[in-house]
Amino acid sequence: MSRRPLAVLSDGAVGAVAVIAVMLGSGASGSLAAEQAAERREAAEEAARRASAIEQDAEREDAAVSPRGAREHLPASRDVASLPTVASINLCTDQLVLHVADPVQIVTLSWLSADPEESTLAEAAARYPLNYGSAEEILRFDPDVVIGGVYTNAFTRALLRDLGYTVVDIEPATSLDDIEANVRRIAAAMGRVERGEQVVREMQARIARHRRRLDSSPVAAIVVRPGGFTVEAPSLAHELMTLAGLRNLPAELGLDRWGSLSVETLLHHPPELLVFASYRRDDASLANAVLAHPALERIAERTVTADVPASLWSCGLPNSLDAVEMLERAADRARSARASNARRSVLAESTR
Amino acid sequence: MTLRLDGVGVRYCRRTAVVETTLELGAGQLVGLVGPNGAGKSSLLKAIAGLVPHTGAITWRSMPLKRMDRLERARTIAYLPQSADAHWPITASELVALGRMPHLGFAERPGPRDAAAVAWALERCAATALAERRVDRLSGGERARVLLARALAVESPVLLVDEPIQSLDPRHQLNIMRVLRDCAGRGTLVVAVLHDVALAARYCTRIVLLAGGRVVGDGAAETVLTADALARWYGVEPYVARHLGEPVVLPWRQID
Amino acid sequence: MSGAPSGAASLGSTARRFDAVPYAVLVPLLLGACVLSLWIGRTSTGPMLGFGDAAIAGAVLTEIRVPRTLLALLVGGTLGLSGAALQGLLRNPLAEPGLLGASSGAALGAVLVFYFGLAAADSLVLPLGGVGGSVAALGLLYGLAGRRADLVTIVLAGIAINALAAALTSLALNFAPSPYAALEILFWMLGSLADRSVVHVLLALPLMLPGWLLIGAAARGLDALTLGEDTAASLGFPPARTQWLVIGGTALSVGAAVAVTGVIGFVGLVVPHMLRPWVGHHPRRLLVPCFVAGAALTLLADVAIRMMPPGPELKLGVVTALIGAPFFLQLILRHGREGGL
Repeated sequence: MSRRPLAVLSDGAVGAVAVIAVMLGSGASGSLAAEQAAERREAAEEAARRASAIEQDAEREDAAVSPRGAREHLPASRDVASLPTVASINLCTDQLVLHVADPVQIVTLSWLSADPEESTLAEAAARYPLNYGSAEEILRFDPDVVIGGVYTNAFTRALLRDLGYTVVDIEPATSLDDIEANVRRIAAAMGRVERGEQVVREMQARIARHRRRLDSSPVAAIVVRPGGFTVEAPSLAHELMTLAGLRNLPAELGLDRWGSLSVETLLHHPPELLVFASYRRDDASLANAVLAHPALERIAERTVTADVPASLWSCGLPNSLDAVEMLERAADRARSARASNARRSVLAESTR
Repeated sequence: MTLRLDGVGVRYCRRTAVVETTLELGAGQLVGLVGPNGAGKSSLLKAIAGLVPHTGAITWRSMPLKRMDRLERARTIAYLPQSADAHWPITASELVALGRMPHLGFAERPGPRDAAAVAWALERCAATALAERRVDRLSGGERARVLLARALAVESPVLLVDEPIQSLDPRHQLNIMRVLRDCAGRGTLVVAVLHDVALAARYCTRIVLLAGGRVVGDGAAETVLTADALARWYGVEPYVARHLGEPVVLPWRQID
Repeated sequence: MSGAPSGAASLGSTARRFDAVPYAVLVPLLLGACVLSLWIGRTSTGPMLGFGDAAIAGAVLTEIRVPRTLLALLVGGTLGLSGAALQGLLRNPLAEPGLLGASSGAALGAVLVFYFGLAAADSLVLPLGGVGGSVAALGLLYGLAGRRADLVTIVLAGIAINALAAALTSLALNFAPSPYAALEILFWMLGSLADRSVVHVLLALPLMLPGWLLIGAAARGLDALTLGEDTAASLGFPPARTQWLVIGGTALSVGAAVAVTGVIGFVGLVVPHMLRPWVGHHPRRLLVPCFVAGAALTLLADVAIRMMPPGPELKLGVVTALIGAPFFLQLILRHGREGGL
């Protein structure tokens, strides 16, 4: 595991002397990083040659405190020792990694991924050591690949890259195609190309099923996200709505780019379906206060409503399609309500 | 050792404060710059101190002030502004030591020579006992003495003071005037803007009377601060007399 | 020259007393803070830094903790130094480096870089945007206030620039390409030293160094300003020169600091006040002790952050504000009561 060519600092050397030594030596850190990267690759190849090294690996990681000890308890497939280990430092990439990885590969996930309000795979994530996204933590886990989002931990990712780690930056998905691309990128980085393709194929099959179901009479819907935000177009959430046979009313009204929905707009343009992207509904927060507006409740009385957990579509995930299923069911309810309303008004017409 | 003003004029935007003034001021003089409000006294003093842009030339010992380097000029001319004050609560001796700044290089620390100058300046102004007091806790009279000591500590051959006795009680006024006369007695050229014509007449060796930005009188107190001049330029009728051989000029009545 | 020996002696002793005391306390404090900073990590402490592997421990020390420590020293020192210089320049004990708009300009610059998505490629683009922002803010200040501007005009221009930068930053937040980007911008504005590398030290230092030198060149001018602008000019230190030296130095050094760490408030305000009772009120004598104390305070605040219980790291700007705000309040109360300093 000692891949770093740096001089080993003795226990007592922490202090002013070390600072000076380090200041003198820091000029060479660039070339050091390159060297380290090379050594890292060699080490990975070495590991590949010893294909049945999983037991040895467990032995080598004998220290009970080592986070890699977790590996011992997981079932080992035949070729896992050749797979790169991976650390994820972003909620969205955590979940993508969980979809694609062999469990043995994952050395750590970010802390939010084990929170059921934030993450769709909280239970699975809770089995792994969690990190708070600092470089020191990641160094402890010493993974082969670090996966993060482009908009989070910018400094951490740069530092880890300097230290010779392979860092994969994942853009937040703004469409279903993005999700597929992200799955493929992560799968490739983790040496799990086949598994990635499998996930993508499953997604495509589900998408095709939803497309076939698409009705000619879309349901006018408003999605209210925490903070009173609506869904802009184009966006992943918009695409998911469309796929579920919904018309994104705020987007049609031109409330683009995280448009906030005013309660007045809602009263002027009553939707057939009101979807709440629920997030920590029990916690007191300004965002949830918006959702609890009395006027909204009054509309909700006359409108079909549905709850879809915000975690399903705040990250672009293969299981974001679960949101489509929920929305489809809600759309069906809205259509039958539309039909019964129409019948009622026809009846009212005829009795007059 | 003369300070020569050659056609010195001061303009603020559109207003002319001082019209081409030519004066020759010699070492050892205590020059009282007097005149009604708005006569241009302070402007002239600031022009000499290099604080306002001016036309014409000012030379000290034939050396144009404009050609001097900043610190050389600061060593030549000390200036005590009207209603000067310290913005930080430093001690009196620290304040006076600021007067030594033109003598010190970039990282130079004050030496025994500077300490001696500070001590001398404090002593001249009868402020030695105040040395370790914080300036924000001094009375008005004490502070005026310390501030004057700061200007003296520069040990410059030229000392410019603007209204040094403003808002002081009579005892302190006399005290400050005596210090200024002593300085002149030691060979310093002292130029003081004064509103109090009585004290100006009594202490100054030379009076320069300004009105409307021009010199309208220059010479000994008796020849400049006459009843006619005071009536014409100040609009007052004075009581003029001599007491113990020194001139007394006391504004007595406003002329309508 | 008939010297008064007592006066001369007391003057000399005063100067010596003022110089020795703060360093006798500050230097050990600073060294202690450095040792703590190298010793204590977010997840582990101790001689081996809690890493079984000596090579990894060495990497953590040299590539994570040392840069972080150095940056805390540089940034904290810059904030303390520029705070002392600005308070001396404005002769106002409530002056602060953020006053001139250099901080908010740098923040805006970094946010704009983020908005246009340039920072995604390499985190170094973010600091560069910050430096650009602080230079732009200074340029605007210069344009608004002019060459021979009085301090009131400069302060008012600074307020205007701060307001403009804050408004534009909010606008950028509104147009952020993703909620994650907006969140990251907000976090960045709170200031942090987490996971900065030697690269950031090397990026900030070349701008900080000339900034410090400019402020140092203004040191005597600041002392002269104690007696007001006219006296300062008559002592050979024209206020306009002092003014632009301090403003230029602050913009460069604080701009570079904000660019790599985000906005860290209150250090520049609090440190000069903490030191005045020991060092005296001479602006020049305050400069170096304020640099040292600012560095120590910032580093200790950062160490405190690392000692918090496990969880996402607290932002440094939040901690300095938590320390600074009550101090500021007490200062204002005392200011109102005594009507002085």
